[in-house]
Amino acid sequence: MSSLEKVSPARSIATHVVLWIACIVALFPVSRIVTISLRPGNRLLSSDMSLIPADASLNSYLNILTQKPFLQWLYNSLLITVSTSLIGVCLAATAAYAFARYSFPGRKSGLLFLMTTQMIPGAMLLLPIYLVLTKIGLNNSYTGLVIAYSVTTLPFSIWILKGYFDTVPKSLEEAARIDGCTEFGAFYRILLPLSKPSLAIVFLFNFTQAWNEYLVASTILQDSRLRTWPLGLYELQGNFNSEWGLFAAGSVLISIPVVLLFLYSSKYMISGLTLGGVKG
Amino acid sequence: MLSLSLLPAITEILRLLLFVGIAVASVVGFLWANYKFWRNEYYLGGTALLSLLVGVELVLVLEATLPIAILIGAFPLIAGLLFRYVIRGRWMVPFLFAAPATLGVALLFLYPLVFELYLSFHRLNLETLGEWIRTGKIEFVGISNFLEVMQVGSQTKESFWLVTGRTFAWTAINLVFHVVFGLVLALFLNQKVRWVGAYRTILMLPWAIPQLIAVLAWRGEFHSAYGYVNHLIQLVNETFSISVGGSRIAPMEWLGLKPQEWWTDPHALFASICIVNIWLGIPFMMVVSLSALQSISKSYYEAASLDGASAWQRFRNITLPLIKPVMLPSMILGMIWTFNNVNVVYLMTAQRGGSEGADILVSDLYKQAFVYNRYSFSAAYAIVIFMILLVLTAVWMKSSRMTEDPGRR
Repeated sequence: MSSLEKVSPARSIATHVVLWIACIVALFPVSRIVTISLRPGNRLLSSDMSLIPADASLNSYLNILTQKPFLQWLYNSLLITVSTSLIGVCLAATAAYAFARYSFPGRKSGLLFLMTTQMIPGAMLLLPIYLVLTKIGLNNSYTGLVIAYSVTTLPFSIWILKGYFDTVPKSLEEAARIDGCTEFGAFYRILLPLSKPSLAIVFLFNFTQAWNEYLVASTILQDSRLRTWPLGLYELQGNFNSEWGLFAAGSVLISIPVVLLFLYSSKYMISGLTLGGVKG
Repeated sequence: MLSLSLLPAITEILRLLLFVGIAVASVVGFLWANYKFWRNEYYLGGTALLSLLVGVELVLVLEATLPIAILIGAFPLIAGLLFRYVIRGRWMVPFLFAAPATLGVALLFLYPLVFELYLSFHRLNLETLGEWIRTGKIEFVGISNFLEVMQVGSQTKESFWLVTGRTFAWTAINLVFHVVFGLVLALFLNQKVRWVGAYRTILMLPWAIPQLIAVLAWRGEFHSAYGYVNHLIQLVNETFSISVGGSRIAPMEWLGLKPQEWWTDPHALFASICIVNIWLGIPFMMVVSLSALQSISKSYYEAASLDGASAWQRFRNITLPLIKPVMLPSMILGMIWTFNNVNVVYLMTAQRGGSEGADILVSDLYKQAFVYNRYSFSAAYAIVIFMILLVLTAVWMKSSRMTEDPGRR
């Protein structure tokens, strides 16, 4: 079990076999999407099972960029996502600072409540939000959506940031305070610059959550001009005649940056997860 | 077709950021003013005046009903009393720092919960929605919504108990497979073999790809005629079949391995959703298990090896107990996520050609609320589901003794 042990050849081969099989299973739908996107028409499946079809073409990629408002979807998604992450990080950082550095009445119950919010089914929150937005006429607009996104990720962000702030020694801020810095100054000038990596992680976490979200957006945004990319792709695939080639090409275009970003940031995110979850 | 409209969206976003900024500034400013003036002799009088002003404005300008006006209007006065007699100038910094987030959480978590409770005792559906938007009035119906939730099935709604049973099965199946596969893969990855980093990266892919894309891609593969899954099943059957004197014998087919109508047959559909969600969830558990495994000090294993412990004994007596404290919180989180997973189930079932009979509680809830527009019914339903989850989590946390200190976990 230990990684120190030298692995015997037989066990090494067994390990490789198991991991190869697991990788094939993990890659299966991905490879299929790539294959479908390279097919000339909108064929979901010919009985052709080769990875790269014999008549491969980039037509689908061209078509989704020129015939569909794909760039508009991306633009809409980007705007929503960036503003969500900005609001989310600002609110989470200040709250996490209060939870990490000060004791005050309501601190423990506040942290516990933040945990409890993770238990609330999404649809349960969505219903009142949807009704209120309808009542005040803010459905079909980004305002309600962005506020909903940035606050729903808030509990998790606060937990992650609090975990990080706990690891930064308090003495640095105390020294700054002695030198005449205000409380806010100590937070803004000392703690925040030191926590840049964790802030980036929380930003990315908010970003991916909002970027990939489908259900809330589909409920609130009904105007087709406001569509984000998940709504657009869903429409392509769920249409009466599914446009599989376009769907696959769009998926590949969107997945590449998202996957790279995720793989790059996952290391930090996981350490944040385990830190926030275990050490508290 | 290549016309982008950039301006309207960006002006709306800028307006939104301004709005959020003003909201934050006013909350923080309100608290700050209280901290500054709570000693002042006119302080309480001032807050009372503010309460009165807010209440009057709510009634006259915003045409709010009297109870709501009193409830909101009383806020400054209550705050004033609190600042004068309870807070007395203490905890200024943490309160100011936590205020914006608290406001957000109260607005988007607490208020919906309260509103949901209110809705569940009234009747709001598509017919009464228009009137509610105009007048804000809905009919009080007592607990009839809750009774309806508990009812045995009807035309538009499966039996609550059936769906609940299916949800428990769903949660258990997914969690077991996530943890077992995740742990096994982590054990393999935690060895000194070549390309471990590459393997780990590839195995993370199901977590990394946008969920919508992964689920829709899987759904396509489950198409009965064109999907890869049925092709694969056929391929396996043909490979293992032997023909004896003109008749074909396929042993795998006898074991029940046959092409399925995945989209329309409820059992096959449920199985396919489970497969997709297991595929999606393994990386998370794998990564958590791996980081737990890597935190175990090697000296334990060396000592055990010296004492002649077998690999299984080492796993059973060293690995398992030591990864338990890291795994349990993640498992509880995983359970909650699985129980609440609307996305996967909805995306697999809600489209044209989709089938009823594979929904779990939360996806059923979503459909009742937004497909059938039964708002009050859904509110009651949501409360029941939340209670189930709360009890489930509490029981599990209690049984695994994790609640000594809620702040620490």
